[in-house]
Amino acid sequence: MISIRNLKKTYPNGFTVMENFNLEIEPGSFTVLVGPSGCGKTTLIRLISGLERVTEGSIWIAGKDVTRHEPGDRGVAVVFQNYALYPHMTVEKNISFGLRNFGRGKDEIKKILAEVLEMVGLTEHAGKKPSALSGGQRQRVALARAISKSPDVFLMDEPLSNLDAPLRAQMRGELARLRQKLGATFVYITHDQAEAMSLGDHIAVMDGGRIMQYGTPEDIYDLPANIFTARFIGDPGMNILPLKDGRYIGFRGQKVGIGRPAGLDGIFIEGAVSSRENLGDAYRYRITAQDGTQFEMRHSERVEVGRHLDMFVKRNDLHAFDERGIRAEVRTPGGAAP
Amino acid sequence: MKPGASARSPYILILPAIALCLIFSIGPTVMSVRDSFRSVDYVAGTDKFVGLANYRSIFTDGVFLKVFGNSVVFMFCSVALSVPLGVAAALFLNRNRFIHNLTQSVIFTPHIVSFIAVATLWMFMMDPGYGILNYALGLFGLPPLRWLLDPGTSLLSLVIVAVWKTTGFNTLIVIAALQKIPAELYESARLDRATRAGMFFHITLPTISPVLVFLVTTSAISAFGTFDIVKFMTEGGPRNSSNLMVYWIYRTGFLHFQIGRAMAGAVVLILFLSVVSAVNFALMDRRAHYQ
Repeated sequence: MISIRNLKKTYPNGFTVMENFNLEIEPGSFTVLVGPSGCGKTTLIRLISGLERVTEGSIWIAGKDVTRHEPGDRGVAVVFQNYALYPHMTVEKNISFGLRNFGRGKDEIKKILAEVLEMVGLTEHAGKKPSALSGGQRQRVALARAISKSPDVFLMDEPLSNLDAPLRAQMRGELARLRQKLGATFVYITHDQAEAMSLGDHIAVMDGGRIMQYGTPEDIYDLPANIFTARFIGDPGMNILPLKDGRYIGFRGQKVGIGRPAGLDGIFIEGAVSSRENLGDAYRYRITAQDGTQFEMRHSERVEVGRHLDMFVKRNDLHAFDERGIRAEVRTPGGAAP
Repeated sequence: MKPGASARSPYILILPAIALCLIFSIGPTVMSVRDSFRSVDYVAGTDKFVGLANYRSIFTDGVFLKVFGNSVVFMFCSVALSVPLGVAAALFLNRNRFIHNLTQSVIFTPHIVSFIAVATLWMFMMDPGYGILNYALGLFGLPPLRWLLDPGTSLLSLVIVAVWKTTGFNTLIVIAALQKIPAELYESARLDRATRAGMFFHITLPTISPVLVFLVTTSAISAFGTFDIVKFMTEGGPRNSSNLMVYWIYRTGFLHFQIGRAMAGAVVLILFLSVVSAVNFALMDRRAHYQ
């Protein structure tokens, strides 16, 4: 549905955000872009929508080269973080303004309005101005405005991050439901890992204007392609410990066990608890290993700070990365401390 | 309430401001209204109540009505020119960031330089003999005008100077308002296929409308209260063709010592301005969007 080919974007101040950027997004898929601030994810959405000009390369949507098309002519709808509703227009006008520019007839607009307002549950608020609505309602208006144009592609830039936690969870459910109903293609930016994991059928992990990994949420979490992805995905990110030969070994804090089971296929670690946080259902520990390296452990058992522990990680829970930080096969670890 | 504070202390705190207001603003206004119903003669030392005689006098005297009409025309023309010009200049400057900063300070200059210096320059430029304005007219093959010296053009000449003086201020205020419009609104509009004109009428104008109400109201009031241009450039002439209300009040009161008539004129001025602001707010308030 969206095909990005050899894209380059240089800002007028000379800063190149991305170069030789390629990405294929399948029709009907829900792709979540994640990455640290400045990784280029917002730029990518702005390039796809046409709000930013492409420096080199091309963007194809639904089989058409739209690189030089105006934002309104690309078949995309954008939902912004701060909603970007027209403050002086009523909910109804906010939605119909675009429809009129798209040449829809009066009766058709009325029909679409009723439909999308119903869909987002704002029918009785049609005559209100955005200032009279709550944050969640405003974001629903923005959604309704996007839906009303029945675009091929929805581009969403952190649409839920201005909402408080319970509302965010609720809207997340509504988005998933909408997506089932509309069957359009979604590209979605978020900082919230739970959102990325639960909404996306594909996740693109970005850093420094490049895609570090593109895959299903399961792939990204269970088989991180490189150290960056391993550390970025998961809460907390994966523990990465350097080995003596220049390579790295990684494991998730949840997979660290306490004790020294006999006949274990895996590694043993000795270390001391340097801090503890109560997470409710588990504790988060900061451990200092004997050689001074630090890592995190999540465990349901309460252990006092300062205590020495014998710990282990099963071989199946270990991830290996080569000298360049690229995923490698786990070889016999030898059972020694790293 | 903190210990030591009493119910009276807030009033003590605002007393200085209230006192100044009473002495310099409310007091004189009350006295003006009172004097407009009296005949005061400082030479003879008489002061007696005459009812509506002063009002009858100024409304039957052709000069006052003419001056009142001049003021309305002057106010209407200067507002109708300086506000749209300010908006146009602001739109232009807001888009062209390169020349933006320099021009912004340049365009504001007329508002802050000494008006006497500026008026002198304008009088040079409007001189029928060697003025640059007539030279410019000549370039287009137009006949020269006598500007300030012709009853047909003297008021127009003052309008030009007033517009020149206030447009820069309006521009600056509108630029500030334009820069507060979030960029996302225009991006939404682009996604909505809005044209340039569509963006102006559906986003820019409604968003800056509160500022426009403010500008129209304040420039109308200050135009109706114009004194300096008249006093310095035409003294109301020729034949009262460029005479405005405040200058008429000044002459009637302080040169002819007809205090009662001058105060009657002042009361008319206050009433008229109250009506203008009320109508302006009522009309524009319905269209203006306040956030």
